[in-house]
Amino acid sequence: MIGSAKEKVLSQLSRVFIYILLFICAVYFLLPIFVMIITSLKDIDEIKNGNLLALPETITFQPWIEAWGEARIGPKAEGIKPYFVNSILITVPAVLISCIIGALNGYVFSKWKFKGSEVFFSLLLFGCFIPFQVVLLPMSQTIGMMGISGSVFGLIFVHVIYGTAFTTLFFRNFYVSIPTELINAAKIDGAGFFRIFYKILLPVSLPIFMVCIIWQMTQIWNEFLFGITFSDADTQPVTVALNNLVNSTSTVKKYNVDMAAALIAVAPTLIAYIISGKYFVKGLMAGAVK
Amino acid sequence: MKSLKIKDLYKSYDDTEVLKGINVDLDAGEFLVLVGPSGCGKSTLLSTIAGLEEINKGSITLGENDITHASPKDRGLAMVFQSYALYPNMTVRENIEFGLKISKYSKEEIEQRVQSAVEILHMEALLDRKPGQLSGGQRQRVAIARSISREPDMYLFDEPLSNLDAELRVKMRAEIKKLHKRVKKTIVYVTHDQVEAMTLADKIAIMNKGTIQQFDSPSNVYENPCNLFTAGFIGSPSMNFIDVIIKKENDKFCVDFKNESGVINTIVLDGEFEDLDKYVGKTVIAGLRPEHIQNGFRDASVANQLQELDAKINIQELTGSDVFLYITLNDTDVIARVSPSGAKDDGENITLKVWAKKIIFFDKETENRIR
Repeated sequence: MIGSAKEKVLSQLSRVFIYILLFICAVYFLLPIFVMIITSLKDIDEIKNGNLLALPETITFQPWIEAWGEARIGPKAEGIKPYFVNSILITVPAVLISCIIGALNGYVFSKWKFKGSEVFFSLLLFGCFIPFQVVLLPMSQTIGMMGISGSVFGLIFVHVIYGTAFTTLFFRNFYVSIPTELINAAKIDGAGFFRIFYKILLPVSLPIFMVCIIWQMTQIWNEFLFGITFSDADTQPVTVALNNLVNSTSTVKKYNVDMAAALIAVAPTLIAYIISGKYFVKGLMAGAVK
Repeated sequence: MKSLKIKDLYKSYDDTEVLKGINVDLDAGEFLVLVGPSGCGKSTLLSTIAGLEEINKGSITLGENDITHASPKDRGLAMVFQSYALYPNMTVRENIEFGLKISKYSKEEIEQRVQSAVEILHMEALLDRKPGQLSGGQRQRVAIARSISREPDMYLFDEPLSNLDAELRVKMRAEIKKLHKRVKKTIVYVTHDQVEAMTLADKIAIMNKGTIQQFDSPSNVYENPCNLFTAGFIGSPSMNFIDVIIKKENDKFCVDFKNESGVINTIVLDGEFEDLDKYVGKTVIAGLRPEHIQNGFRDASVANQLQELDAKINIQELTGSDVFLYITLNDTDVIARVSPSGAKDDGENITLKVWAKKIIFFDKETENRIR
């Protein structure tokens, strides 16, 4: 009896310890965002004279308005709005195209294996490990030859190429867990390659689509190196614009505007994750445990 | 109704040969069971018949049609899978309709076929459910209904009952048998369960290591196994195998069974043998089914073919209708199937009767039956 009571206390103590640890971690990770938010709501005098962690005395949305539509970035003073639009124009098609290609690839690599398909798949996976910097030069030549350099199409192309390796991996691992007997049954029922794909596999693919969309969206939206290398002044994505805004030396530092712009820039990926985070975890787990 | 002919079929994955010269000749409307231990190639053979696997050599003919290289949907067959393979996102009705819609039947035709299929299997109430809401037995019914609705020339079953619990398995087994009686179509059925094989089949093909060991009717497979593997595979408890030396006395073959206490029982063989002469003085494997060692045979007509065998009971297992006695002959554990009446205790001596005519022999080297 005494032993069990002792164990109970111990297990409760370890519980408390775990919660404290988790709380500290949460504070540690959330503190920068907290500072960003409160700074973006202060006016510039308060920032200069006040405490970094202090709550704003008067809340002002002026920095947000300025960051969105008025701040000077490069030659124009239109805020980060046009660049935000650029990012959407790049991200949406790139995410969709790479997910669709990845789904088809994964379908082939799991259910229509051909001689050498395993080797082919391994080679494709190399794409996950190639650092961005290595492909900068050959990639710029390629999109130059295709005549789409400096345009959003060039960036879409680059991101689709890069993303397909990951989406293929995700979809392939997901489809491997779907019994091949299902495919065989459909074959005997007379369904062909594409019909099996969209009638049998696609309807059960929602979790893995969510994983791929979130993954790809985060990657492409937050990507900076390709964005700055392969874009022209009017096709730059929001990450590049944010850099230009923060690093511009011509005017006084407006920390509140910088913070607001940064928050606007990360908002889409943050919101996407909050909305579909449970699918993300579910989808990543699916196929891992049969 | 169509006959199935498979000639010299070979199939290999990379360097591993999984099917080595399969020959099958099945009459129209017959029920063939492919049975064998796991990895013997029975499921692969079924897949090649279905057209899901390409073959390396040989031919498959269904009725008059050579279907060796036809695509699965053009072979005129339907298949029921071990995992049921129901499309999880579709209702029962949609599952059954799926293939029919692809084949572009008219709406009325599809409706009529769905109705008659679900009527046969008594599952009208389940039409609008999804597979996830059904029990294992119901899912298997849907899978069978789906195959019936295709009105195929031949049915293929790939271990359809092995995911069901024991009670349901017996029920579904009877239902498949009834279905065969009703549709009178050719069926190829894969199982590793010898009871399923014996109860369902018109013909059994016992497979091992990529070859068909014996292709015969269930009773022949049981009574006249062609080699050691077949003899040991069919029957439960399985056939006793005892090393014996063939002797010849007074122009009659006989063998000695030495029991645990060293008493030698000489059994005179009264079966017909052609080649046993060559084995006189040599060690062979004697095969004797448990039910051919008894304490009393019900069939009086065999009384004059029985010979006595003294043995000591090591242990015994009561199954209700029978008692399995474990005895030792020639240092080998042997099971005798006796009736519960006149039971004795463990360790006691008992005089059993052997139906000598039923003893068969196998070559120790080739493991083939000695005729």
